[in-house]
Amino acid sequence: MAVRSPAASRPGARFIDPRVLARISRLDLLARTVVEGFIGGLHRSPYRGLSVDFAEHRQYMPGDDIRLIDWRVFGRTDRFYIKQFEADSNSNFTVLLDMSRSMAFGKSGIPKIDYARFLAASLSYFAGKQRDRIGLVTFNDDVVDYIPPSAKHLDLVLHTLDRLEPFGNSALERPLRRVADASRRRGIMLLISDLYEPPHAVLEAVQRLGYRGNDLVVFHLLDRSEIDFEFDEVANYVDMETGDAVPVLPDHLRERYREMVAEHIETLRAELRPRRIDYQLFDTSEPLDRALFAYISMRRRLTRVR
Amino acid sequence: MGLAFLVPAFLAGLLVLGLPIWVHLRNRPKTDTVEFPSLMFIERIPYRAVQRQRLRHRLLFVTRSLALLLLVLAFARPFFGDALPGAAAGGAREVVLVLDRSWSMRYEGHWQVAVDAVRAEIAALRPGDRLSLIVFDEQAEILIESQPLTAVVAGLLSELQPSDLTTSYAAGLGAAARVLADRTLPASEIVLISDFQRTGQPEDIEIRLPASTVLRPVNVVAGAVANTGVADVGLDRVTAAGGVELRVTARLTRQGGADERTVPVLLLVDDVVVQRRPVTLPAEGAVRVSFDPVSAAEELRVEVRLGEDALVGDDTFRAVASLGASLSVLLVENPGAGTSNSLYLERALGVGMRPAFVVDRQVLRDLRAVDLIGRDLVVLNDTGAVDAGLATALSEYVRAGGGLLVGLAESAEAGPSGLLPFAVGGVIDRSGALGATLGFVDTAHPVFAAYRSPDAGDLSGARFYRYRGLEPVPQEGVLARFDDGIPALVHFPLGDGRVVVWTSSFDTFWTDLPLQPIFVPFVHEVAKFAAGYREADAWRAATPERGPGFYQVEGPEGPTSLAVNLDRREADLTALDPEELLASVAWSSGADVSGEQATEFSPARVEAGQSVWWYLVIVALLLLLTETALSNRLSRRASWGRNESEPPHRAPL
Repeated sequence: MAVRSPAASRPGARFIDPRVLARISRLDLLARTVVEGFIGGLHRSPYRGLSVDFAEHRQYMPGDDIRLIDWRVFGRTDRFYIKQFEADSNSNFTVLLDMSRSMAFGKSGIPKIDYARFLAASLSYFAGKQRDRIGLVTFNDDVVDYIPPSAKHLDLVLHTLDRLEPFGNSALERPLRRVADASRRRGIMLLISDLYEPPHAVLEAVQRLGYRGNDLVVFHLLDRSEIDFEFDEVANYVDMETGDAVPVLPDHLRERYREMVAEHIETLRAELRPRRIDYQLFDTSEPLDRALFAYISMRRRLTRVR
Repeated sequence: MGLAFLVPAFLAGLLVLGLPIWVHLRNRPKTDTVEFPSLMFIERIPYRAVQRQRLRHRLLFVTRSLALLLLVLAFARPFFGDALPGAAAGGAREVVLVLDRSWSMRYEGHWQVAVDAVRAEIAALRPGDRLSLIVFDEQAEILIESQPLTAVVAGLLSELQPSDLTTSYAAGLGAAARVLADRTLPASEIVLISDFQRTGQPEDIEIRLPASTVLRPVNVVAGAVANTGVADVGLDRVTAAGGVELRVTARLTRQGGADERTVPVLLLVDDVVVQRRPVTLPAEGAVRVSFDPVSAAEELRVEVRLGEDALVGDDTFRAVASLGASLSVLLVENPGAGTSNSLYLERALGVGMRPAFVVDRQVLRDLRAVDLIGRDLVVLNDTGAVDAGLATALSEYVRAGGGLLVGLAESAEAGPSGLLPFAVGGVIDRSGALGATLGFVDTAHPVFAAYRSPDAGDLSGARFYRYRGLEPVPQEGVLARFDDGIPALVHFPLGDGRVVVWTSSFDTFWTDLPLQPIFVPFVHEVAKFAAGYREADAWRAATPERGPGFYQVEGPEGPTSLAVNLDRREADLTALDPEELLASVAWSSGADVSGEQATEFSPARVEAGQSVWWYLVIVALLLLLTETALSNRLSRRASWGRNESEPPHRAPL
């Protein structure tokens, strides 16, 4: 008897299974499938009403825009009240996508770059439906593609994501510094990377993005085998970025490797959270819904500000 | 040249040598490369944990492995196994073939195997080798002494035959040692070809061979041996109504049999089968068989015979039954004498065997001259006076070579006048002082020769309560005196015969001598001396051929027969382990071998002589020193590399 995963048991979950999504060649269709399937599944979820929903009435105060006066209420009560709505900020949403060579790795599920591509496309599509301005930055040790945030850039973003091919070494400091320098308006910045740098280097690079008031979300993307190191082959292990090789006896270093990776993840989580930077670890074998939930949660938190 | 090991169990240590190689082979990369996103974490794991299983410094590994290999081999004590003298570096050898020719080699097929072994050894000789051939039994005979191969006489072996003597390895090996004492060739080898009977093993004789000589046994016995034989024969004279008879018994032995077996045993007397008796022999052991008595004669040739088996030498045992020499004794006593007067004397003479004494008693008054004819000895036991006619007859009898023993006691006051050169004196009574003892005995005289040794008998233990003196006291011919100097035993010649005078009694009235253990031999010796009896001492073989059988010899009293049998010790075919013989052999110390060092027989000796392990240890130590220097150098280089040129987390590939 086959064991069904929790994701597969949810309505619409098959539309966000990365292995299913990998069969969809068109990224725009993929993003729409993901988001609409996801939203469709939310009808019975507690997350009702989004940013355009009515919030409350309040009494008119001198100086308020008279266009916001609710005339129907005036007709019934003969008093002036104005409508208040939730979060219709139209903020910038920029995806910073690591396209270094290491993102091409995929052993347990789909390659990390594909997973990142799906994530970026889905969230961009979702943000587009929120009328946010959508931008994209791809980088390795420098900025490769830069699409500034715009309400009309969804197609361009999807097209750019579609043709991504990983190359080069990763280094966060330089590309993120350049993005921070180019940023003119506060917005949401989503960093998708495998973060193969020491935590202090990651923190330093990411922190720079928040200097202009950007809300930061870090999606730490790893393959399951990068976490568990379930390798059996005694071989020369070659770094996909540098080309360095090390003879490895997996049985001898597995435990130590797991400890170091866990320590790395925990350090990132512990260092980013206090700085109001959302940190999420993603396993490429997981469905995309957790990523969408994480994004929505973050978005709701941000739009509660009236 | 094959390599062998004295302690091969140590070779198990080679498994330890293979361990690092096995670990390396097990852990070596099975594929070339595996792509991994980043080595950031892997390279932080201590480098040695990854590198330990790699063969990085192959020269170091080879040096260490070779050193350990040599040490393991050294502990296994290697030697070159076939470096025996037969191949002593290709040098010439002094080969001594020692061939057992004792009569046990007549066992079916053994002699032929031995001769073939000698031929094979000769055929295996190389040019330059020198050969000696020794045959031995109880003695050794050197047939060929250190001759080149070309000098070996063809047909020599075909003339050799087993002897009738027993085995003595000491004789054969001793002769070989003497031959090798003067050898000039560097290697020497003794090849002992024998049936290796245990009876030939010397118990207290040391066999010493020259140093570095190899002793190689060649056993001609291929399998189990079995033998049945007559070990010995007993002849007993029994008295029957019809006269003296002879009872023959024989002890039969069997060795190496599988189960009981019944065999016919024949008794032959003077070459005629007189009795046939089936006897059941056990698989291993002996039985005694007794034949019915046969009529005795002056001389009988007795033979006990079994059916022939693989070893024929012990199937027949021969013996000669002879009634032997006897002395005719006429015991003359006083008519009024009691029954005990001559009792002890007669009984003592009656138990004599060599010679036997045929005693006839007669009273003095009935004695006639004709009674003296054919007598070897006449005993006048306290007879008193003898009339003139009888005295003359006795005197003539003695002068003609007869013997006369005179005992002087209670009735001998007058004595046999005319016969003695002295008068019989009065009775000397010593009963008041616990009696007299013999104070002097002429042990140089044949009568008392048996009492020379201290433990032969105590003549002084006898007590004499009375005895008679002689007047005048003789000074010559006195063989014994009492403790007061009075002669006790006197003899004097008369014509061709002799007269012996005993001055006390032959019963217990005057002395307790008849009750003493020495009485019987004393009487025998006195009687033999008085009768002029002489042991046969001039035997001469009448049949010149050797070997077991009956022999006719010429004795002083005419021809007589002797039986000759093979020594039954040789019939015991109990095997001796050749290794046991080798272990009992001693080698002379000192390097008396010139030229190349010859090897020795046993692996331990060969190994000790070669001492290959010593060289292996030296080479291993040199390798370990090299390894120390090499590893120090590599360690310094690696340390410099890590500290100066490599990042601490990034190990060199």
